[in-house]
Amino acid sequence: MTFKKKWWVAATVAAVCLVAIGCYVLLGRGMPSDNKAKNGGGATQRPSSSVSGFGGASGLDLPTQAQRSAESSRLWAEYRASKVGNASAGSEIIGTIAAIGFLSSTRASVDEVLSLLKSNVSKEEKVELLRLLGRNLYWDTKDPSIRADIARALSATALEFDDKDVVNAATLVYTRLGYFPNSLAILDRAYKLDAISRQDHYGEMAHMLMSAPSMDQLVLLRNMEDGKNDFSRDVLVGTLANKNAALSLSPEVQAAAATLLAKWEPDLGTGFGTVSAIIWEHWLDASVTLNAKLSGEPERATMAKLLKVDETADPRKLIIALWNEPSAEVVRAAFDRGTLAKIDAKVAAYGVSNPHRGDIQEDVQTARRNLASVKQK
Amino acid sequence: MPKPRFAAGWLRHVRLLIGLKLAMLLALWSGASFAQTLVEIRPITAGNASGALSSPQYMVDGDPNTLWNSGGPPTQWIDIDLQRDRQVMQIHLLTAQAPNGPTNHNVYGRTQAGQWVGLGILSGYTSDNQWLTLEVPPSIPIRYVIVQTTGGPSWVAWREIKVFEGLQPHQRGDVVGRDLAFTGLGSIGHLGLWDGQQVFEVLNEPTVVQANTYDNFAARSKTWDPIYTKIPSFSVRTCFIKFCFWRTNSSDRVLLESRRAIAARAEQIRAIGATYTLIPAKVQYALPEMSDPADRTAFKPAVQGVYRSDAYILDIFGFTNVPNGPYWMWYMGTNFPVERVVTGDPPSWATNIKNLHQGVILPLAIYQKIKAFTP
Repeated sequence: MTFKKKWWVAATVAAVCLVAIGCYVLLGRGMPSDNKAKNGGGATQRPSSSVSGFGGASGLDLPTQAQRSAESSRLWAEYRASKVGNASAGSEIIGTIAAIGFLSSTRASVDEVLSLLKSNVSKEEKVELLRLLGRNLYWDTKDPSIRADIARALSATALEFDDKDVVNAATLVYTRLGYFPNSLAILDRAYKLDAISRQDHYGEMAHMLMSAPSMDQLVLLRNMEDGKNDFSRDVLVGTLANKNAALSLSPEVQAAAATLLAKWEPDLGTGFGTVSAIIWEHWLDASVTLNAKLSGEPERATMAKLLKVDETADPRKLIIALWNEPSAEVVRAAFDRGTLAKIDAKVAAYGVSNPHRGDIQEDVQTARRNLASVKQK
Repeated sequence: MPKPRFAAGWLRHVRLLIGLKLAMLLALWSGASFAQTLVEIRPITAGNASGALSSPQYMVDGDPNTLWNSGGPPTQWIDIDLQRDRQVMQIHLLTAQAPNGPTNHNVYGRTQAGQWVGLGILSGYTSDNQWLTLEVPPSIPIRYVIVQTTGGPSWVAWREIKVFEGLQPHQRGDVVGRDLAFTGLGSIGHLGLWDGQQVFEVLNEPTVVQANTYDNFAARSKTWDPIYTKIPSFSVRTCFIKFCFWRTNSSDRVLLESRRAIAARAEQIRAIGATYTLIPAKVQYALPEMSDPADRTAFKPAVQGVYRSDAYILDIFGFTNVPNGPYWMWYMGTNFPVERVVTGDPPSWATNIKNLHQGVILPLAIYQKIKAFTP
């Protein structure tokens, strides 16, 4: 065999081996379609949150909580035994544990994670350890001392580290624990360090709103107003569209929120995007709830003011106000028959002008159906 | 005892590259065609030209027997107006020259805002009445095409020009795809969801969940034909907002038609936030805040998701398919009732969604399966 041939054979063998390793890493270890819990053998099952959480589909063979807990414990033991300090494999295994969930949150396990966080493990591992602490272990215990230790560790990491990835993870996990007296300082530091985006900076303020005391809620709203970051507005209306949330605020905060929303109506753009429409719907729902509560007027009066049905009325807004039964009911009560007929005509005309958009046709039909059921009453 | 980490970075990339390539091959074996379907942009008009022995409009009149003649030898140019910024994929030019011989043409694009971009060069021996085709690499959307002829034996003239763009998504729930913008791994792909106006996608960038125009999406790499997803009309009732009351049957549970439910879940994920991962085992689905404002002890914050583009699409579509009845969310050592009720969905939909979660999961494979949805 010539040297060239030997080289070619060696290269082929090496390539096959590398392919096998790659396959093992990307598909074998974490094949997302592998839904069955496997005890041992190196396979991990499908991420936990997609199984127990908000997403996920039916008809899948889902692992039980006990199976997931066992797999998380097994992976944690594997990490402790042979992967500590390995940026790639170590962070992957911790991230997988976070996805599976149900790693026991005890004084011993949390102390172990906290001590690893303080050690010289790679920053990739630190990022995943921070997420494991804040997203899993903090919430999987009710022990206030364990929770306080986790919060302290996250806060200290966010305030003392300079590595952007580590600060990013610590900050964005800490702000989701709820509102703390130093939450804004931590957000500001991360933003100034360029560890979090402007969207995260102001978006997290909106995320913390409901867990902050009233006085601090006012500060958060003021900051959001100063920041004028539309994403934070989207998160805010996604919160206050929930009546329970909006009505639980103090009158001062309700007034501040209503004033802010009045100045910050979402833009629907030029076409008809469903998500833009949904955000506008959230804004409408939140505004109606807050203004009705503050003024003491019925919701229909607020709705009439916000919708402004005249010649220049935007038909998309009318469709959105009518596309859900609860708000359609308020619209029906807000206007007389003549105005409702004008609304109907505007909505119908919008459908005619968009003949090729099946989704718009569907929305127009839904809106008109909701309106018609009122007119008949 | 920590191990040396000097090899971790490159080894990780090598493993990912090989793993992804292999997975891509596995997916391709199932048989897929990704030929881009092109649509001719009409109408277009001829704008300025360096000279006009005959009208530039003859170049866009659809008649190969009429032509624009500049009235002079190279260098000459003409610009074509596409009426608005478009994602141009291909340009066809029909020559008019005598005698035959080597010619050279530089083709440029210009946006409505005035930004210039080079689209390519056509160079070679050409003869009269010959169609020349320029494949345009992914670029920013352009409104004007400028053809500059810098070499040739004859007066510069053209019989026709045709400009093509890729298919566009139509309505919410359509799935868009393109090559992964990563050298050597393009065909593994990247997916996004169309909401009627924008593409919702997860990217490995500081803002992970983004809403972008289709032109922005297409400008990053070669697009695949959009999937006009076959989504039957049925209802999903659950909490679609960022803040959900933790008690069952709260007023935040609303009933949405299937396509709207898909878009609403996309917005819910965007509002909650996400981090990006390449590793499927790390995927987590975003969870909304679950609280009782009257009871501070009943508080669970919104939990960011962890997504790759295929996992994002799986979450959004999987959201429309659960067993009827309450759907429970585990947190804080207890189950929170986030009931999600699906009604009126045909059995084929459950099968479609179940199939999505089986076999190789990569953007390319998910794209193929969604394309093959049975109504």
